[in-house]
Amino acid sequence: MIKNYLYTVGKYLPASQRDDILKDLEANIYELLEEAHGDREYSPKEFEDVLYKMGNPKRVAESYLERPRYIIGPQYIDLYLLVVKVALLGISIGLLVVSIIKFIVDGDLLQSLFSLVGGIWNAGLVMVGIVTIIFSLVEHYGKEEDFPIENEDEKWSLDTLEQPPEETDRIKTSDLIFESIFILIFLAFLNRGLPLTMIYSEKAFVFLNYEILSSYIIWINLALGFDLILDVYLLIKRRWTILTRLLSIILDLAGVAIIAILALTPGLWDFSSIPGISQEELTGIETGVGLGLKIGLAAIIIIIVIEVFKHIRAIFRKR
Amino acid sequence: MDKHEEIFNNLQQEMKRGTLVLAVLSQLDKPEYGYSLMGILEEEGLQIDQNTLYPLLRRLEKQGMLESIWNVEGSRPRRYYKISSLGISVRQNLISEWKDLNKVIENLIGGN
Repeated sequence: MIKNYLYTVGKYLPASQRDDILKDLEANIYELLEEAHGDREYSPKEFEDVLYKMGNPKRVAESYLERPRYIIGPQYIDLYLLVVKVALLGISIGLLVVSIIKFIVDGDLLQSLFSLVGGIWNAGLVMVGIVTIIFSLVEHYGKEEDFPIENEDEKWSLDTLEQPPEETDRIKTSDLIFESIFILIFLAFLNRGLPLTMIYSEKAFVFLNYEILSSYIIWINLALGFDLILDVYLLIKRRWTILTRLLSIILDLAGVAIIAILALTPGLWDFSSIPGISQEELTGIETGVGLGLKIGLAAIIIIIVIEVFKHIRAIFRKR
Repeated sequence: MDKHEEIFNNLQQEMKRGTLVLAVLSQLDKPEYGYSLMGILEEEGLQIDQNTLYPLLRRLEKQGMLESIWNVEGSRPRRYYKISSLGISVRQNLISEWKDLNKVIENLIGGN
């Protein structure tokens, strides 16, 4: 009985201190028994009573821990929950779009619905897992560096305080999270051959000519990958600096170049796979999509020019 | 438990927690094991839970304020704790701090 109790307490203790604490605890339990009943063999009832007196194994273990152990502590928990919510929302929207495309192509409502639910479940689990791992790593390795309060207290001075970012340098957390999640989803679709991309879908890119696209994939991956790294860095630092603004401008311009290529490369978009489509309809769709893409491209260029202008203005103001 | 009682219990616990170290250090000039120390403190009117006392003894030992030895003479091994030289000097400071604080609080609460 005592063995079971000690084992259960031990489950909540860090391995490095477990044996030592349990040795202590066992001695304490026998102390209580001896004080209550003298030095003799004890009955199961007496063991039971003393263990109940010791209390809930989890609480007992906690009382020996000097500080609570977190996978994700109070400093990051709100951001973590926000990222998880946005990630799940993003995945759901992304997969809904894929399912609608699939439904248009296949016409099989039930199949599309099943793949939507299954996809959300799989991709959601993978996404939550990845986000949790990233946050637990940040929690584990990032804490001391961010706020070295425990052992460097005496080195504290007014000069070591961080300045709050100016209004213009403050990052908008929700924008960055949305952007990161959509980049992740897009990358997952784009690299559909990768085993980790659970939101793999053969039909999602049915309108793109993969042979032509494949020569651009490495560049799209690189640009979006750097975008993602910058987003995560900004989420942790929570402010813009000149360097991150410059990087962002470069990545924005690279992004425009890639989007322009995707929109303007002839033959990249291929709608011939729509079942029963006539040549006339195909030409109509291609003209319409071509025009739509050019309008979209123009809109994106305007947005990015505004963004770049904001960054440049902020850099010059700082100087 | 009504709100008054709940708040009072929390504050009382907090107040007691701050005095436990001094209480424990004051009784360990000669070696005691956990249960015997708990008995001594209880006799003097200080109730302390074993899940508070045992971890506290370990922490004080880790900080170097207590020394411990395992006594294996009886049928079961027992861990005895005794105040260390560091513990004695810290205790001295704590006692004068406690007296000063006591005076201040006495003055503050006056005849209440």
